[in-house]
Amino acid sequence: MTCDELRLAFHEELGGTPGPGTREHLRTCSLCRAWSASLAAAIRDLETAAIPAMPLDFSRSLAPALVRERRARTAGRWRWVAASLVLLASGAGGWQLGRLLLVRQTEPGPRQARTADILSAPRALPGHADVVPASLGR
Amino acid sequence: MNLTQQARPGAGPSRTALVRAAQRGDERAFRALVADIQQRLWQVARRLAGDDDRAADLVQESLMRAFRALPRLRDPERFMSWLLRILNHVATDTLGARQPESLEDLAEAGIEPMASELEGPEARAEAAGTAEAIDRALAAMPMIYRQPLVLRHVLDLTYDDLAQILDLPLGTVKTRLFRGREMLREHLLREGIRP
Ligand SMILES: [Zn+2]
Repeated sequence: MTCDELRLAFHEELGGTPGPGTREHLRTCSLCRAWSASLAAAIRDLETAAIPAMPLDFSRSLAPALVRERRARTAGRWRWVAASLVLLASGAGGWQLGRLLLVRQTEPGPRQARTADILSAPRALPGHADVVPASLGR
Repeated sequence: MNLTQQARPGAGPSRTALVRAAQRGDERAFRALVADIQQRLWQVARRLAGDDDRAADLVQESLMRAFRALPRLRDPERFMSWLLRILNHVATDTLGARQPESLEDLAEAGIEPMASELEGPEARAEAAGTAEAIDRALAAMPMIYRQPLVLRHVLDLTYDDLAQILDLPLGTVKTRLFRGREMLREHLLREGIRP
């Protein structure tokens, strides 16, 4: 086993039982013996060194902060869904209104409205209640 | 560490049950889940970040991202592994872009610089303790080496767990881990922590 091979094997075996090849090399090579001792010590330091405790105020505030964020997001999502539904409903109403009115525009008569009026106020066309489907218009 | 195990065995519903309940929107389960995992998450974050403030940001941001995505988690048994994956993504996003810290950065951050490099052998004896030296060693190495080192030696995860969490081939995980260990060893030697 070369010194490079020893180092690779030592990494693989770290924390477990060193193989016979590793033991034999370490017995005869002082360089690798010093290297492996300092590597094992460094890893032991990393594993045993105290990690500063989680600050108490952070630990106490973490879950409530996450719950607040979650509630805010849920509320925000429902607001968005509600707004989308309103837009969708008014859009569909406007489109249906527009379609109906386009048909009626070919028939001369008093029931005419500008497209802008329909789009801006599809649910409140005075005198045109009969062209607004009941489910959308009231 | 067994990634599917709960932190406090026998202390109530299993972590998987809590995850399932939290996925259904149960707020109490959600709080219990945070209580169950926060210490483990803190340990990793604190080692990766190197100070309390950044560790707190890392934990909070990871949990926020995780709980937003929680309803989409398909395998609640793998919750901890999934969460650590998110934490490592956040660490890469928020800390990974920073250059490994120079002595000046460390001094500015109030972390004592390496006495052996600044003031010679007589100051070596006054160098801060091993835990601070570990923080400095980790801060001095790029995130790609810090992550496997912390996951393996702080959480005691297997190579396979590391590969899954870091989304890397096993060979790459080992190469980075071995390189990280070597950087740690060299750093502690330079600081005079190890003969
Ligand atoms: Zn050798």
